[in-house]
Amino acid sequence: MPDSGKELGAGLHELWKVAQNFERVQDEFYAARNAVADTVLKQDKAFRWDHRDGYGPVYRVWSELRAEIVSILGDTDQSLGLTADALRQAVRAYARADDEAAAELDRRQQWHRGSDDPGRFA
Amino acid sequence: MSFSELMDHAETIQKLARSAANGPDRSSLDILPAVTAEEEALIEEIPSLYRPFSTMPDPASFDEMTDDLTRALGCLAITGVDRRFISATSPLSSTLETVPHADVTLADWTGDAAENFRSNFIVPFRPTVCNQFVLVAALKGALDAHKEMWARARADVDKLAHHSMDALTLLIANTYEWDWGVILTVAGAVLATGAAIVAALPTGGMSLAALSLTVLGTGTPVVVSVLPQEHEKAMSVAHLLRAMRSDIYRLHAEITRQEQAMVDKLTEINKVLGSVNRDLFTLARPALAEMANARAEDLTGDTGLGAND
Repeated sequence: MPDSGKELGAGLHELWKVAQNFERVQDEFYAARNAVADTVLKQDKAFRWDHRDGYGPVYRVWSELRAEIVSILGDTDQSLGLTADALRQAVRAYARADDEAAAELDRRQQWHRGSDDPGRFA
Repeated sequence: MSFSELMDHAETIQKLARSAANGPDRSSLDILPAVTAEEEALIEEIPSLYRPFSTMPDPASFDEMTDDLTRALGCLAITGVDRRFISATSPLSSTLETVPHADVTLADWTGDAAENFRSNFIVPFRPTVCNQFVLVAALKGALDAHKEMWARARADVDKLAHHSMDALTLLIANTYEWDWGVILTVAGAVLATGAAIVAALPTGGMSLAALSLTVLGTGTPVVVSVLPQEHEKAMSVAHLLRAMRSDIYRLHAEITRQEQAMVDKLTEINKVLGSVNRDLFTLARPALAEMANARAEDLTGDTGLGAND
């Protein structure tokens, strides 16, 4: 069971890469959520027909669906960010308790930073 | 296409109708017109019949919103999404693919939070994102359908105005032969498509869920005829104006019908999201996410990530 030393360091590096990737995934959900939410700013001319009051019958149910989607994507975005934070903290906690694992983790992180790969899975 | 001139057309129709009602003989004799009260009422109401349509939303006003939603679809385009709802040339997101791949890494860790993270977040990630993609596609599809409805309604009311002007011109020249029958294309504007919803398999992968959603979209250019009811085939201005009014009411009714179809389909989706099936579209927050500020021993202990196996 590689619970210490270089092998643990390698395992921590894999966890660290997961955390790095989750940040990028979070960015995608953040962008998707904002793109959906931004339609609020552009809806006026599309839904307003001067002939009748307000935005018409489609708007109510459509905007209800939009609000649900914004909420769902926002939750996913937040979960990804918090999980990435927890993973990074866990990596630090393991590394603090094992110098050899910490050195191996550091070596692998340096290698990744030297390459253009921020931790993408092969 | 001369929709922007709709109210000018209405004014022209009014003038032509008055001229037709007066009749060439009467006007040449310079006597008071013998326009009946019914004709006068029909002529007077012409601008008010067309005015509501002159302020219909501009179909182009939907474009910025659909661009936003196309961008959102691109962000969520993980392998497995329904490709009918994005351009064939749109790339799938390689970034999102890293999440399912994290399963291999997490499988090496023995703690409860690692297992919870795998089973409740990573395994259902792909099917859940596929379902979220369908939701955004449904949101965008409704806009596409709405835009198409207004585009067709504009074309239809413009066609109706031109048809009326042409008929009245011929009536004045005494060469009109009854051929009233304006085809309203707005009726075929909205198309409903079924979209599959998927569920995660405990072992990874996904299967079809016992549920599908209806995604609205643009109807194919099938022309649906909405012919006016049978009119008496007479040559009077009153008959022509009644036929025109009947079609304007019909156009209005068809817009209402199309909108109700959109409301019904969107309501169905909102009901799904208000039911237990909402879980198919959401990812439960992993226990790990709640441990971002946990003590080191909790993060690395059996309730955290545990041992690296």
